[in-house]
Amino acid sequence: MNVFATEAGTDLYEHATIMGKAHIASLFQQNNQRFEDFSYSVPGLLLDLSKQRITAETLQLLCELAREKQLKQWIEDLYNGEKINTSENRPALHTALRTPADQRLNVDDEDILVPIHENLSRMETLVNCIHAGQWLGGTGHPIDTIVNIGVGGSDLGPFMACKALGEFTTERSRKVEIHFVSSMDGSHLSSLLDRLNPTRTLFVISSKSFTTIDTLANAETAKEWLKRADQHVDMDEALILKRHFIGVSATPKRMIDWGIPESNHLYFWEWTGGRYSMWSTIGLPIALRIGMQGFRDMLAGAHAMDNHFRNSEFETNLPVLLALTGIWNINFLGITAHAILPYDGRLSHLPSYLEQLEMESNGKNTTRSNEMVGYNTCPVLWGEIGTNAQHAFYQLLHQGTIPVMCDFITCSTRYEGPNNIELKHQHQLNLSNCLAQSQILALGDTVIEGAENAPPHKRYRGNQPCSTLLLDKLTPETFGALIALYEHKVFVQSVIWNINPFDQWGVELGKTIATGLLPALDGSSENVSLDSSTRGLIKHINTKR
Amino acid sequence: MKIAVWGSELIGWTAATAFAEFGNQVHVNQMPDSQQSLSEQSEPNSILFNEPGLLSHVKAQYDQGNLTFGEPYAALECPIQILALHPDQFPLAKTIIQRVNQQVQPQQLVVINYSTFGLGATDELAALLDTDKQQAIAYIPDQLSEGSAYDNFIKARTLVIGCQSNEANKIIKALYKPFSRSLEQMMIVKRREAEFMKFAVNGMLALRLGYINELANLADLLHIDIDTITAGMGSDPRIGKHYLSPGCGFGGAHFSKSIQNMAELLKTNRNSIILNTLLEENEKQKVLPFRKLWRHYKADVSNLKVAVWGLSFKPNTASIQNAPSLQVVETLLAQGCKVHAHDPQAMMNFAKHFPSTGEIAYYNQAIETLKDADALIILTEWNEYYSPDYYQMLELMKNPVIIDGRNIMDKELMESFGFVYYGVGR
Repeated sequence: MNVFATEAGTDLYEHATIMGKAHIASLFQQNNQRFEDFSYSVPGLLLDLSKQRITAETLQLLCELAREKQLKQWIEDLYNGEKINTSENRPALHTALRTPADQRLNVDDEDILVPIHENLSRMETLVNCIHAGQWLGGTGHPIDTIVNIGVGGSDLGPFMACKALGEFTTERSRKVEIHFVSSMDGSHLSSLLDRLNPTRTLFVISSKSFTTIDTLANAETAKEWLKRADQHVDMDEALILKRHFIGVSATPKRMIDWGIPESNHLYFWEWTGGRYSMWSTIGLPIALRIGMQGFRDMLAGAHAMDNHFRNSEFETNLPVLLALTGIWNINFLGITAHAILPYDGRLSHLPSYLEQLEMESNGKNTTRSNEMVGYNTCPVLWGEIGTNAQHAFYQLLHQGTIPVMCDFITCSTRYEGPNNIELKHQHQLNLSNCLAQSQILALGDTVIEGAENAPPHKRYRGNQPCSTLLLDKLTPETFGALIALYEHKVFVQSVIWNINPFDQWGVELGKTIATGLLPALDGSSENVSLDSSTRGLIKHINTKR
Repeated sequence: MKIAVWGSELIGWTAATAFAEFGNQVHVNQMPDSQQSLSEQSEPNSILFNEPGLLSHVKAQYDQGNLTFGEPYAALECPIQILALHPDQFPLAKTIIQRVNQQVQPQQLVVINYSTFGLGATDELAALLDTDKQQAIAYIPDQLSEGSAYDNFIKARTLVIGCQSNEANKIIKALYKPFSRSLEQMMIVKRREAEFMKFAVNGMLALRLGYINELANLADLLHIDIDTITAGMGSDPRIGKHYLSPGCGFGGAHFSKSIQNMAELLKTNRNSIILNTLLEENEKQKVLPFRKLWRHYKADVSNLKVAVWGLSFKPNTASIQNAPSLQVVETLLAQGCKVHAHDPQAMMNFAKHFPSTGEIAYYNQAIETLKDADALIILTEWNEYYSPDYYQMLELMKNPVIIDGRNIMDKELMESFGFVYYGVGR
């Protein structure tokens, strides 16, 4: 079946009937220049697609498909602030968040770069104040501990970035500890509060709508903790809110209603999707971790990728090629599982970040014209630090029954300087494992001689398509570029699938139903209309307390 | 004897003067190739300038020809060499020893090291000497307090000599003979022991101060008057009365440096952070007076006019090294307050860090700082601050709030006058 009803789609389908039978190992035998043919780079970052089950013809047809899907126009619409998030009637302007101040971008007759950079400056003032030890708590002690309370996009991006860029702290930023709290059940928060000093702790409450129940429940607990901790001094609630809370939101009024004074507000906008928001003031924890210059470097790296995505031909365009090989795997080779395998402990939180970015964006079954799609969209995506995953789920990758496409992400150099001999050696080990695993996953046991004589349980069939993303080294710039690369990849796939990647209606019903179940759990009322499973579980819970 | 003194630390100037007064010919120099004159070495902000009375002693000896300056070659030939260098100048100390070595042979050489370079440093210098040629080095921990250095030196009660060469010790004892009348104890120990002793004493004093400050802060919360508690503690002969006054942190160049050295030794060798914690707490304690202001005004301090009395790290010195005033004024300015400052001696030094602007002004009379002030913060216990004209203060101040970081005023009396009074631990 031609899933995309286009000319290139038809050609790709036919092409796939041949390629579907091919083995990546044989592609390497036929062409000993695959690396030269299928690797692409921008300054600081290289993408190797040679271990994908593709030929030059595959890529040419895929690029044709992208043209037929008007990708160029969609990219322009994205950058120009057209309201491409149609179900919510707004643009998606994360690219504007990293556009330098000397440019202009009019959306609805307003140059939105002006408020963007005003808020960055506001954030800079705040960051510098905290780093200078001059943000004082209610008792006059300088704040040295930040707790970011947020969930989803208000948590994953900053959390990941702080972990990834921990080496780029400044002398002043090192003095400030940063924690992340997201879980609704209070597990993160309660264990943290036991060991924090309330007079030196500042809570950053991050929520686009400022209605997220997970976040507000944690914020309320934090506020009560501060009130209780202050038994010796009559610090009233207003003083606590003024000195110990910062709000980051697109909804100032709700921050005021919750009690955070305007002086402690940072803003972002409705047109910033939660999972695309770490470039905005939601990135406050990142700036606190690595300083404002580091944060701006990260923006600059992402902006360089934006320019590359917008201006390069599809045939050399990294986000486009990464996306199209995904489309090829999913829609033409029938692969619906995608493993994210960073070979770098600093990128430990990248898999969970990409889980949200990809699956919340493209895990959808209706098209932009509100029809059911007739093809697969976003695959199941998961991951883990590669070397750790080798001791966990690689068994399935190598010898399981399902095809899986894999992204290997690592950097060429690490631990520079003369005193890091042992650590440099560890990095070499790490690199050799990264290269070995992608080699075996793609080529199977053809990489050794005589494998065909081994018993079946010792064979490696290979043919799992692998991409390798190689950073020269991990810096705020290359990290920014890497994340922007994935954002644009997701966008390209959404265009091919004709879905809106910027809404997330699938997460709404659960919130409503959960709220409806609270009275039954309180025991205050029994809901006889519930299904017997839910009713039975509630009854069982209530007999235990 | 001919003595060379290298370096411009307080102990150097003090020892140079005292030795010169008793018949020795002393050459003071900064480094082997520098020919700085007295006027160059006693410029404002120098240690010599900050120590009350010392400059006149030095000048007297200079005028009498007993002290000379800027003659490094003559200095290098002296049989007694004194190192009074900054703790960071260890490489220079090595250079000096090597240069001296080239000059004085085969004469007997005695080096006295007063500099606090760290544990084992004097042994390292000793390795550069030729013991076969009657060369020896001693470490003598200096026991001077800034503000009374000269008296401390000439009326020393204990003398610790870290040196086990009998020949050298004979010469050192002879040098110290004029200052032995008040001497209660003289100890001859190994160099490393003497160095360790210096750190140990300062660490102990700091622990006492840190502990008493912790108690004071706790007493504050529990509404207990710390003065009553310290009086009781001090009457116990096992504890004694010294170093029991709480306040807004200790400072000074050498005391803090020596505690840092001991903290480092403890951390590196024992993984013990007791002194690091103490130093961290001391830094927080320095800003305590500001926190009292912050609390009084419920975190709304911008545009307040705040008078600050006392900028030096302790009375009777112009030195502001590690003084609480640095942090308090920095915080006041960062939080948008206007500062009116006074100090009998340290204003010139302080103005180098915080030049007079619209945000900070300096006054020659303490009382002048109080006009329209929203608070007075006292950071140094200079004598003249103990009993000011309360009526005039009330008249001048917009809000009669006194934050006494040194507990020099009587809380009840101040409150009866109508002041809002905050001390440390009461």
